[in-house]
Amino acid sequence: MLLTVNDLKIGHSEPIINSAFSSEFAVGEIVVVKGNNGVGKSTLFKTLSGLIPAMSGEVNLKENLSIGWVDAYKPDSAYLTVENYLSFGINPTEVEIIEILNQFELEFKTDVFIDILSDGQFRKLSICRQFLKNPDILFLDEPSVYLDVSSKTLLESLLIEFSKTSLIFCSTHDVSFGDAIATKYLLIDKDCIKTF
Amino acid sequence: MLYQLGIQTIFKNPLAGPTTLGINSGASLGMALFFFIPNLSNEFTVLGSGSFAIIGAIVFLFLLLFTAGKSFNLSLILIIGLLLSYASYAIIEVLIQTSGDEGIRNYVFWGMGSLNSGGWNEIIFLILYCVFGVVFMVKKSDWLNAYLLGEQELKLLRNGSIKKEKNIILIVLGVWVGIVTSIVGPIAFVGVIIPNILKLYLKNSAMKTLITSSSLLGASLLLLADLLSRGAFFNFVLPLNSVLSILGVPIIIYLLLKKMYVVNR
Repeated sequence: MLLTVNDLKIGHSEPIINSAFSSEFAVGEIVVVKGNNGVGKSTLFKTLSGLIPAMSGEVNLKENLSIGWVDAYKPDSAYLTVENYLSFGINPTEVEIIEILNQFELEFKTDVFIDILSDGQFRKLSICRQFLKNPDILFLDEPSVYLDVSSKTLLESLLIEFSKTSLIFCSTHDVSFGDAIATKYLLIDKDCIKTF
Repeated sequence: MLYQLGIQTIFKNPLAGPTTLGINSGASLGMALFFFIPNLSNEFTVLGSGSFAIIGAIVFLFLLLFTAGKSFNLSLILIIGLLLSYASYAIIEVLIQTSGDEGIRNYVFWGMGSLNSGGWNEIIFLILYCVFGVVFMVKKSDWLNAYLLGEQELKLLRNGSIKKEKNIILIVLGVWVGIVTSIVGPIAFVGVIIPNILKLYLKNSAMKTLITSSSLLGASLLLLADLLSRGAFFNFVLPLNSVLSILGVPIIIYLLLKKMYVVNR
């Protein structure tokens, strides 16, 4: 098992979900996470990835896992180019960069500044970066926001391909996204996290 | 030039630099204490004045980091830097009121900035630290690159304490600001402008590219301004900082407008 969760309670200063949660996750799974705004989807992701500590219980990640993360954050540094954004800290080859951009049907040069990209384009670019990282676990926080219908379908098929070597967590509100690819659901509300 | 690049990266702020963030004023305050406390300057050598400037710069750097907190909000940092400079100049003015002619004269000349004031000892010391600084920056360039993408991405990429790395880098940079400032005076603007122009026109924000290119372009621009200030083309001598500010202010305004243009498009 890549990730095992025992009696987990999540939160920032106090638990936000009343009952504890246990489960196991393996490579090849696409876990779709649903729940209302502010119920704790992002907090769950942060706890599972080790970014913040668990309130109680434990999260067991296999040793030396690499973790990918997609959310709405856009770097506020001025003058970052597409190439800078894709390569900093990962250092892929030029061929890899061009290949991933093609896969995501992004047609712009690698030396444009990311400031001028549209929200949808940037969302796809940020998923490109995480794919290049080739992580063992990929967390996607609302990846379909800003994406048009054809991009959503494209993303779904790319995620299926990617899940062959990775475990994917994906939160969404979007009724037209995720149901076709989910192998497992997590439903979060104030009382508990349900899995089926 | 390089320390400004580093500071711009850490504060994620294209307009950050020792001048705009008030770190130079920290160094100035250190220097003022050095010049104005009676008999102090007789007892210490130039390296003594350097240590005053270094302490001033580092104290201000961390004061800024502490007050600006985790937000790294672009305008908040500039405003706090501005307030810090006001505070330090206020203290300097009090010091001026209470001190002798000799000290004031030395301080004013130092404050105009000059590439002229170092002897060989200081120059060798400066070169040694610059070599160390460049090697240090190149070693940290991967880390700084990733830092530009946000602390969360950095956390996920590698283990180790981000805070510790950041503090080490800030101390090395603070010492650098202190040494340079104590020897050549508070040179304005060059460091803020150069990395920005390069990022805009080279279309690349990778640290290694910027380290080499900004040292070269920065040094050339500074020497050009120095030539102008010495009356190479005109028949009068100007303070180096006046020349730089007259050249620099329009460029900074241009960059501000350009950045807004890019964001608003």
